[in-house]
Amino acid sequence: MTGQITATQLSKTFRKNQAVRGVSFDIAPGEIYGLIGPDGAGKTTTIRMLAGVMDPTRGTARVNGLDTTRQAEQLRAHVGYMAQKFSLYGDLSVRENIEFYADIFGVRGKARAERIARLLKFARLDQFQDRDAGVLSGGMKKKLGLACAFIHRPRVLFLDEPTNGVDPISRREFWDILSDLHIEGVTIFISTAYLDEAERCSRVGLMYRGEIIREGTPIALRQLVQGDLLAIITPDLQIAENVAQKLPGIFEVQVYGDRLHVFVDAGATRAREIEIALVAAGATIKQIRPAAPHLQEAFISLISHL
Amino acid sequence: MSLHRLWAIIRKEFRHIQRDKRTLFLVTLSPAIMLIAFAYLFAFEVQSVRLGVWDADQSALSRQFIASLIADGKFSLAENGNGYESLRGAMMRGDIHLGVIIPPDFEAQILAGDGASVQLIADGSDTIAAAGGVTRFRQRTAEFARRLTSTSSAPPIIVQAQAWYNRDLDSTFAMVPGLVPIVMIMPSLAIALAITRERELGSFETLIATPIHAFEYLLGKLIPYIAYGVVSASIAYALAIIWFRVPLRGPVPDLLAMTVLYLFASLGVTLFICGFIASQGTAMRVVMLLFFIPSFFLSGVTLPVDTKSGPGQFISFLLPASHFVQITRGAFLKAMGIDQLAAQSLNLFLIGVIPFALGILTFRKRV
Amino acid sequence: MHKTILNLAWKETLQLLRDRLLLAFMVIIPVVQLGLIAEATGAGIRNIKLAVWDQDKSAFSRDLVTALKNSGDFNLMYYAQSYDEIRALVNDGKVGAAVIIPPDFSRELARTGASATLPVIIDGTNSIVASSLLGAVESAIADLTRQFVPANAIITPIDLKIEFAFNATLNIRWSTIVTQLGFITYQLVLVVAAVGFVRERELGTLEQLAVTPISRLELLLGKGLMALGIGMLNYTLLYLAIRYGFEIPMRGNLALLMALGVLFTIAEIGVGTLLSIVTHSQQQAILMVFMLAMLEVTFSGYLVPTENMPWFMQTIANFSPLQHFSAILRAVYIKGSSLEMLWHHVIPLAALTGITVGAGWYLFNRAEW
Repeated sequence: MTGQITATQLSKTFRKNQAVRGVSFDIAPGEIYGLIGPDGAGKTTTIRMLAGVMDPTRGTARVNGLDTTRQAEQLRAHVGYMAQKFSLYGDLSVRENIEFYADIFGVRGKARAERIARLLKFARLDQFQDRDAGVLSGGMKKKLGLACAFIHRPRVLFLDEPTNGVDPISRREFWDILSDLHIEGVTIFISTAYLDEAERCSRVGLMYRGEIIREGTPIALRQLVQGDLLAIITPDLQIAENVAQKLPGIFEVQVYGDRLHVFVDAGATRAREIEIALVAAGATIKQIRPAAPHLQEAFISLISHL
Repeated sequence: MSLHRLWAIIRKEFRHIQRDKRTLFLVTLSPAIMLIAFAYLFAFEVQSVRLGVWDADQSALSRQFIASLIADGKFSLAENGNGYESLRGAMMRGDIHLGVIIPPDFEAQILAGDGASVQLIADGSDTIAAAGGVTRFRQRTAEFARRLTSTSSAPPIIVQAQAWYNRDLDSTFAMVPGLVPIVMIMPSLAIALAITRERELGSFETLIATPIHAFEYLLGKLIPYIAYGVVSASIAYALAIIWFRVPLRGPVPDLLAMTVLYLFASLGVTLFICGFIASQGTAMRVVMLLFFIPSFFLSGVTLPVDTKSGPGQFISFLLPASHFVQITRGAFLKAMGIDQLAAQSLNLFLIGVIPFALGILTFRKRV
Repeated sequence: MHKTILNLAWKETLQLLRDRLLLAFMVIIPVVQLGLIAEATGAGIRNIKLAVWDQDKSAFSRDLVTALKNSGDFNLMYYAQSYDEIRALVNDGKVGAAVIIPPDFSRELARTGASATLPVIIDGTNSIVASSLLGAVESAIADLTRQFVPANAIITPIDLKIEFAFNATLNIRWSTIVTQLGFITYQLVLVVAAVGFVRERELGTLEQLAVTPISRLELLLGKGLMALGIGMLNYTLLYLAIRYGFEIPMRGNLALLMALGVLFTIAEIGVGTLLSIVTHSQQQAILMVFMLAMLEVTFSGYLVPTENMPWFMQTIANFSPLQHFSAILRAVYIKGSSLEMLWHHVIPLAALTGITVGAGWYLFNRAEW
């Protein structure tokens, strides 16, 4: 294994609860690797083990060629880590927070001032540098967290659900910053529960109940979806859902706002059957058409077939 | 070990303290305020021990005796009993502390030159008050007896007591310096909060993913609290000297140096213990249980601690306050410097350095 | 409703039990503290050493030294040879007092009608110890005078016969330990009750409880019941330790001691709940407990008898449940007082209980969740 982040059979057991069950990675330099999965899948534990802040029960991991357990201290200078529960010092200003981490990472001299200025700008925080971190909006806090984690220009960044609870606009902005880092060649390992974010990764691992159940490019994963996806737009969602669930050849029915997404074994034939059944049940159908599955559907479909 | 990183932690902690008014108050003014409350309590010696009297004689002399007892207000007549049981009952109700039984032949015996026997009952359930009351009563009786007899028959042995370091046995002089170690628990409480807050809020997890060393982290936390502790101790000392007029006879730099050692010891122990505690609530409770009652009762500030018994030795070594009580009293009243208090200073250093070293060894940069 | 309350109390207890470290501190530390205080301070001033510098070296001065030694009030003696030695002993805190017998002491005493002066040096740095020591030296000398100077034919006009009621040997451990029963229960209950609501509010779990059908009364009772349980468990354990471990005789009615313990615990739960409601964070709550506890222990009448306080402090002390309970404990346990004898403490305690619980309930109803 020659990747920048490699892991072999990484496992973690808390008392009786096996949180991570033998996951392996081989991540090349410059990749954005997305770890996606529902809450409790073991994403945080996995990232903590890779970042060297938690020892695995079994298995090993290497980052930049350094063992994350035995060489954890040497590793610190080469990785940036943003914990899920990341908390800034609310009573320190934006600038003081960044300066603190700069000092801790031993960034000094001319590089310190230059880098802080650049990061503030980069994170679009330069106008707010004297504001207390405690009064920043959720999105700004996350960007500041990222700036603090990147102050020592690590080759690898571990980000644990960095956009959790952040509004969509801030999330997009955050990802734009990540893309810039990606272009600079930084390897990014990010976990997220938002599946749309995974679409922006170069590779995605689907984590479920402590295991990586699928791994591949977002496109490849999308193609794993079995059958076809039909989108039904109807005002009578409740009736439509109940009826559709009972029809033959249906894998999965999900409600999305004003529409119903239905996975079927064969789109063309089932679409007609569904329409007839719904009309018979008294539902009005505005539209029924085949749709391209997103990772979201792919993931849900994969999990429901386990 | 990097001075750069150490300084980063120190500066951050200073900022935290300065910007949180509550913490700032805790580590600067609160000890002085508590000292005032305590000191006033000990400063007032308005002694009025409640007295119950069963005067079976009802003579001129017995009334004179009673009047002489309560003349200056230090004893007050709370109960006129008519029997042993009535005095005992008053004592059980807590109405009186002392009961005096004057026998029926009191006047007759004294006038006959045979001497009368007076019985004094003291409430043994409150030993400190009982002992104090009996001593005072004994003195008062002796004075009365002297006045009865001619001057020539003064008691054969006159105990001429000289109280050193505190001529008038002024309790303010004794208690104000002695209480400083107790009120200086506040910085320990503050550091316990600081260290567990960082864990509770999650920034600790980010910090352990940095190259920070346990030594830098712990020392960086310690130094600002020692600095503020010295400030608050100085305020307390100034209060003692200016407000309570307690003389500071020892050298000031020595006292401050030993104050630093005390802070190092009490904060070092707290830092070590808090390394195993995840929440602020638990940390505060633990600090309170560990330091509060023991410092009051086992440091020697009030009750004498038996340093010959096993537990006494154990405590007098482990409890920072027990050494510091000797230091503050020594420096204030006995004009002692660090050279004369070297043993106490060394003990404080050891109490601080051992848990501090253990804290570094057990510090795990893992979640 | 009863079931809800019990469920809540059970949930609270489980939460407390989960924190093993805290549990250990709550159950083990109090008993250890009690033992340490009993062992280390139980001897009172008896372990304080005394130095004697006998310059007279007569038969009488030797008798005097023996009398001091046998008085039982001072355990060890230093035989000093010079004033400088005494100065050093007192300065280093090795002795609490020094008796200097002057060279011509016995000759002086032998002169009829004259008085001999006996200088006694006392370390005044701890005034409590100094006063007790002085009293003990004086009484030892007084006893000696009666024994050894009958030839002087001076009859002391008034002979005091002293009886220490309820505690014949004036064993300091009795009052110290029995008082600790109140102190330790006090700090425990207060700390448990004071973080109760504020912790849940800080963690946001109070908001969750707000949307369940649990009423405020049930919540308050549930939390209170848990604190009462913990407090009484501690109280009982400590009582057993004092009664059978330290073998201090209990003269009063056990049911009364327990009932008043419950009353006191409820009063402190009320105080704790009040603090928990008016504060915004656990940190604030504990800080207030800390300050309050320091003050209440001071006012409790243990270190300085309440009667000795200036009137305004006595007034404040009357508002302290701990002060009343300390007096009750000593009265019931050591003196065997009955309820009728203690109304002047029980009624204020009950009133304070009513006030704190009532105020807690009132504020809790008006407080935001």
